[in-house]
Amino acid sequence: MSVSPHDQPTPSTKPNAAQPELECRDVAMEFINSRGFAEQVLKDLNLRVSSGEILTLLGPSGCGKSTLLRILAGLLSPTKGDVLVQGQSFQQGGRTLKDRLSFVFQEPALLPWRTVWENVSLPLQLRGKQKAADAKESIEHWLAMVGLSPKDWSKKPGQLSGGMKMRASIARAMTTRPRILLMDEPFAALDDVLRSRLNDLLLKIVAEEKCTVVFVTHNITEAVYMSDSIAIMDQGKLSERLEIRFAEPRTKELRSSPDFSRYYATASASLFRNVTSDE
Amino acid sequence: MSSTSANKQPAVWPKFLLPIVVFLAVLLTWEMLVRWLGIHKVILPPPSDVASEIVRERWTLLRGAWITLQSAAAGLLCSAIIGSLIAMFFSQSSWLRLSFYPYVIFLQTVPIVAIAPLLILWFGNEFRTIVLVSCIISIFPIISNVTSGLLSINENLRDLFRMQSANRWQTLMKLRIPAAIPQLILGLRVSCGLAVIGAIVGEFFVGDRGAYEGLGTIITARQGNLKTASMIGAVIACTLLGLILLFCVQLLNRWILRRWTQGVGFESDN
Repeated sequence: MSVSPHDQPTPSTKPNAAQPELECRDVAMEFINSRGFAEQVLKDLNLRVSSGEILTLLGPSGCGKSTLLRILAGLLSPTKGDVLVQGQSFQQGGRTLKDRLSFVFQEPALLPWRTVWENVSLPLQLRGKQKAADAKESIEHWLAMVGLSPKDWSKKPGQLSGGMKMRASIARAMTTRPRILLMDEPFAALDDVLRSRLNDLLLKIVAEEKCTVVFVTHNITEAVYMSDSIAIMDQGKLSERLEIRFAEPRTKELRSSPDFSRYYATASASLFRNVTSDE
Repeated sequence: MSSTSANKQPAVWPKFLLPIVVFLAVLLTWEMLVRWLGIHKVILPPPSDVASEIVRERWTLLRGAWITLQSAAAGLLCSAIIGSLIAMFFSQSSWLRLSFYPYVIFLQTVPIVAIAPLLILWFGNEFRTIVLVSCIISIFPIISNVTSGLLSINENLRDLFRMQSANRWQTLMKLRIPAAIPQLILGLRVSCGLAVIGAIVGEFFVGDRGAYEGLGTIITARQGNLKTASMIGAVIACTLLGLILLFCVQLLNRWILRRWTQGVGFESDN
């Protein structure tokens, strides 16, 4: 287990280190709050995510992890600094670059007037590709992949349970075959059993598609189980980065292994060390 | 008399029977008072006279109601279409809203009774003028409801469209308009009563100068002839007309909400 104190853009031993899939260089973000004062949410943050890596942003509420994720998605522009996706900024890459990203929100964010099938087909429809012959195949592949049976495909979101809605939301994110998947606490509202099932589903999908994932959570178990690396955030900065090495593929039994407990202890120690330091 | 226990289903009959009892009691008191106090029929006719007038003039009243219904429905349809278009226009930029919204409020505050004569001067003693009055009076709830429906879109859904680089048109057609449909129905529910008022006010001013016999025209004509019982009959017909229109909107509401939301699925209930 290697624990590096700061994530500096220093050359690492990873093969893809020359050009990371995602990179933040000195990213800062300022918001004007309701009282009219500027509030620094992110402070000169540097981050590199290698291709195929699952990186978890772990931190207390309000530490800026969701803001960072929205900046990585191109939904927000940072006040200062650069975000590079596959070596290009959003200005350089334009729409083609944006099309390589997918976002899964904290709530399933399904359109209530569309059926599950119609919801999942939305991204392809918006890209003008839903009429292509392989679109239908892809939509049905992903619906089945996330575990939604054909009888649920014609249901409206209002008729689904929370877990099923989240499955539909993941299927929707995957139909466009993203290279980078950004997830903002997607399973926060689900119970532990459902959450661990969806963790496994996600690991399976990522292993098959070989996409890069940035995953925001405040659940330590989930972070350790899912990640190749955990970036601990505190007050708008990355305070520590933990590399997690387990035998692949990861299985349920992993959660009760001594290695898992060690990683869990390290992650929670660094998380709580930073949380208590600001109080 | 035994009191009903808390877990017992309340009987349905009082819901229907009690209002009817009140209605009959009011009619009876009214009839008695008019007879005992010797009130002149021009001032207040007894309900029996009103009833017989309604029966005698049933075809005139029905035809009048049909004509007024047409103008009110046409006015409501116009305000639904024009109001929604204006709301879509407003939803495109905050500059547009800032520039034009004060004039929409002006539309709401202008006393329709004051400008109806002007409209008749400009557009004539015609069906179209009455539709216009009905439209002006009923358009504001549509504009304000639909505008807020088009704008108050869940942030994640907006981001979802932005992530797919959806253009303005796609966002309007696939997200904003469908999301605003329930708000449009809400606006229609308020507007349908106003549309009937607008049609009747319009008919007051057009009077019988046009070849026109709506309920408003009937009321003005009977007022001139001091036929109070017939006037009250026409007022009752107006009220029923408003109810009919409201009922239609309610049906539409149920049908659309069932299709549209099936229980709004924004929050995860797990």
